[in-house]
Amino acid sequence: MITQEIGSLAKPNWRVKFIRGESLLESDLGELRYWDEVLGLKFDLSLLKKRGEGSIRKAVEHSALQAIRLLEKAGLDVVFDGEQFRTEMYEYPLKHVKGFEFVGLVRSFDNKYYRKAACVNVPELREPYHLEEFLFVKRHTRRKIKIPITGPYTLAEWSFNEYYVEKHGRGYDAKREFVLDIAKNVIRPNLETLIEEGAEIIQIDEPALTTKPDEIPIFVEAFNDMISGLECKFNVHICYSDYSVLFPDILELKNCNQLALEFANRDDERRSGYDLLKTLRDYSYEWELGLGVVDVHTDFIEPPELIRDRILYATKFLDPRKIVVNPDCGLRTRTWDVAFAKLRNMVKGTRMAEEVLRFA
Amino acid sequence: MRLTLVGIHSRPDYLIKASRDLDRGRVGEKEFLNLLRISESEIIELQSSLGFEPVIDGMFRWQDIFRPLTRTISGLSAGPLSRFFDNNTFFRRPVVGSKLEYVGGMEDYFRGEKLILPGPYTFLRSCEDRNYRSKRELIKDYVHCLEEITDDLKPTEVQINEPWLVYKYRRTNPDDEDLRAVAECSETLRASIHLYFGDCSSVAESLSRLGVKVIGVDLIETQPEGLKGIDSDLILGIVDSRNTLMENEKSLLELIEPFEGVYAISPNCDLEFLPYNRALRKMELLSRLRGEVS
Repeated sequence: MITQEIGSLAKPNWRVKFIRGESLLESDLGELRYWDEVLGLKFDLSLLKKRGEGSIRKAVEHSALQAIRLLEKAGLDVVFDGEQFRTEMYEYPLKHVKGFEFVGLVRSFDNKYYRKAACVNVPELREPYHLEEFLFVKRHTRRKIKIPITGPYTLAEWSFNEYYVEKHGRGYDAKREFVLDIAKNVIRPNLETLIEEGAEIIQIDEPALTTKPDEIPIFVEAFNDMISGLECKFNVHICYSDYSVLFPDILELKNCNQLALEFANRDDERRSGYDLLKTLRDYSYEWELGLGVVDVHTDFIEPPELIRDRILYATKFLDPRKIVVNPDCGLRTRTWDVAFAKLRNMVKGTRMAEEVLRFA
Repeated sequence: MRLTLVGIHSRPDYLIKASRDLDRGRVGEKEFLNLLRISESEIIELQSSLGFEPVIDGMFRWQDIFRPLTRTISGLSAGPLSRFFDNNTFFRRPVVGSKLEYVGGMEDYFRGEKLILPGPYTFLRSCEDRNYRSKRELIKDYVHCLEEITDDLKPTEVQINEPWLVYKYRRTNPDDEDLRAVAECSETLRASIHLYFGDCSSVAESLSRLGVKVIGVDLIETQPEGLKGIDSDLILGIVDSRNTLMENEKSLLELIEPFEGVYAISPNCDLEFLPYNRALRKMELLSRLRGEVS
């Protein structure tokens, strides 16, 4: 069974502070030295003495290199760089797109806010925004690479829709054209560029997909148009949602290689977190299932035996050859220590499940 | 025709920064509270200058529609994050662990004239009940807490928000038992009921039939024709709190025109879905409209 990560790892403190221009504490440098030692790397610390474009670039690249080595050392088959080249998944891509204006801060929850943009014109890509990161990862690993990219529905849903509402009035048509234009004018050119440079697996992240269940067909149409004729494996990742609302519309995805979902977060001893698998049994589909077996919202290190049991439970409903093992989501909310321990156990648990299945 | 706000207002940038700094230990509680008071005074003054009446304090101390209730009602705590309807905003689900009793302290969270509280049906559908065997008992105790809060704070006006009622019955006929509980709460608290996040025509009509005196409606999501024949006074939610696009004044005047003797106009829901400056623009628009109508 293939093991993979989903996307982000936390940005190391030394990197964050250095880029922000804050002074580095001995503990921050200690973190840098510790992971270099664990991962067999060495960073020229003198670069951190003078903050400039070149040294910032080196800091980003080094944290990316550390992330790649961490994922490799954990034993994953498919890796990326923990999204170290990006700040996050919404503001970063939209900074590379014309037609949007950032209008201010809006609450996500508690005291957490995000900078929200309004679409004021037809979205157009300024320049591909993940190519440099992909080429860097490609130069530094021999493992399979999967590139995560925020999907068109999520970019639309997390933005104010001024342009298309003015054009069509509020409602389905305004949203549909908005999403389709992002897919066509922004995401597809990114995909084409990545594929031209050798990308083999691309993951479309759509955490907002189930926000408005009536609009799932819009994403399906956008996905099918967006990847039409492109030679690459396309995965879709969705998390923290009521997955029941995806069906049956999601079955209309064409050439979707994998649907990667979160399960462990909602699991208990009865494996009720994996109830969706019973539903999936009733449908016909071609994709692999990216099975979330690690909860990214807790520091609990899942023992390999628990991972094994979750995978074996899934095989009651799915062909084992169609299962790919991953954490629920990106591990950016966890420290690297915790993320590493979780991923290492995930790989061990997967190998244990394979052993059981081999002798079954 | 009056102007009124109907929910949590977006925080100004300096308060967002201060709340982040508070979480990170960069500013102290005292400094944060000082900024909080300044921001409340600013939004109160702004409402007064634009003709909003009675004013709210911005509800900047509310992190979602159930907090600070989770801090002032014993038996209630803030649970896991859940999506707030179809928004990219999350609230902490209230968890009912034992009998609900108001223990005081809401005065720390209220500086305005108008008090806005989550209604009983929205509470019932949003909470995780680990204590009550009957939903009737749960609602009874919850409404009693709201009654004690309003007695304690003595606001000029009370409004209860019922988005869940709209969400649940946006496509089906409302259940009388659910509506009666909400109408009774409105009567007990002498509160208006605000309905939003969907087509609220059938719920508004039924609540009107049950004698609710003032009903706020989301006219962004509801066709005006669906509100014909409603006897209650209406608060018309005519500007969209979930989109920065500015409404056309002339169209809004045409929208209001068929409603004779409109009680008030308002945003359709909490302005906190917009950044602060954009929320202010919507308030100014409402103020200009009132000037036109007058």
